[in-house]
Amino acid sequence: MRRKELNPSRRPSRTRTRTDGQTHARLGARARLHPSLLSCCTSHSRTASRKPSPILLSPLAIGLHLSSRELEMMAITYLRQLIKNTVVGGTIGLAISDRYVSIVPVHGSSMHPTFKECPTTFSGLLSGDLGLAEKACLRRYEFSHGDVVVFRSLHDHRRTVVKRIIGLPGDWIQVPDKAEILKVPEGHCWVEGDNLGVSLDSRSYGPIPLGLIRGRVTHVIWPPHRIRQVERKVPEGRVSLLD
Amino acid sequence: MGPSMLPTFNLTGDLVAVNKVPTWWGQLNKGDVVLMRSPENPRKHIVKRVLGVEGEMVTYLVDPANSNTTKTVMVPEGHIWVQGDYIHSSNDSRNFGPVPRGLVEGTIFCRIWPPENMGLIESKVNPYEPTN
Repeated sequence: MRRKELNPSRRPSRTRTRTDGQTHARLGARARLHPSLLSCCTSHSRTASRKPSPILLSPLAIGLHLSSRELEMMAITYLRQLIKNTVVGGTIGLAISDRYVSIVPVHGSSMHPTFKECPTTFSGLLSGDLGLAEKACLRRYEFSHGDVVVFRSLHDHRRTVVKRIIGLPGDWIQVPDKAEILKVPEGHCWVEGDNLGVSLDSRSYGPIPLGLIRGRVTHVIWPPHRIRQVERKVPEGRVSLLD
Repeated sequence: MGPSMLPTFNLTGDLVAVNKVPTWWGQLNKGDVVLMRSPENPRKHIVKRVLGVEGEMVTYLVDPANSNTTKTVMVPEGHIWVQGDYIHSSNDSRNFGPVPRGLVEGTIFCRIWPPENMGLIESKVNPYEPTN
């Protein structure tokens, strides 16, 4: 910035101190310089009133009546702004999805008919169901019977599973295939899918710790004709709340 | 913090830095000290050392105060075996079994307070061995 102000002021003072003859001689010598060298000397200043050099111009710069150096600086400023906005937006998005609400694509048919399957091809990415998972329930880990929850899989902690809570800690669950009654241990819950025929859930791997739950699905938000609230419903005759 | 992690951490509590990045990448080594949610109470965080990852056989003392009997168990897929450093007073996988890896929130790699003890926490399986 300082250089910009000094250069224009320095040149007039230099020409003023010399006699006329010497000034003309200096100007003549300068005019004989190659035009590209001339533009290099004057490229520090960014005033638009100077004539741009014909060699360093790009067609876009000609169209905008700017020097190529000015175009470069504009592009860099724009890029910097874009990167800054992306980083800020990304951080805010991550914070929101971590603490308040996030979007869950549903794969597999174990929750049919509550959720329709989301096909895994790229073109089909938008034709499956997307659910809205709220994270406010994670503050106190208090759930009700019939809540649909998202939790980290027991066998692979990088995958998430969507199922419905059937039993809370302390409940007695009747396992359908075997003739036995199980008590859900402290800090765990019993989950089952709505489509019992194809669902792999607590009937196969037992009760899951509540700490694995990542959120509660309250609404379906895609596709538009299926936007609705996910209801709480409990199958009858399976759970006994007596201690 | 309680006495379950003596001598690594002292009784009245230290301040430590938790590294959350390995949980995203899925890299958990045997001997790491981890911060995790308790499987018995999801609102509590507990600090233990990982002694076995999935697929390994873990041998542990069943009742260290009274006898020397040991039991060997296989850690199932997607789970880890955690134990406190002070096994005489630690409620860990010997009581509640192997825990799913999804409960781990981060690994503890360095102690910040008190300043005379500040430094990295080694990741080793037997904390009572002197480091050479």
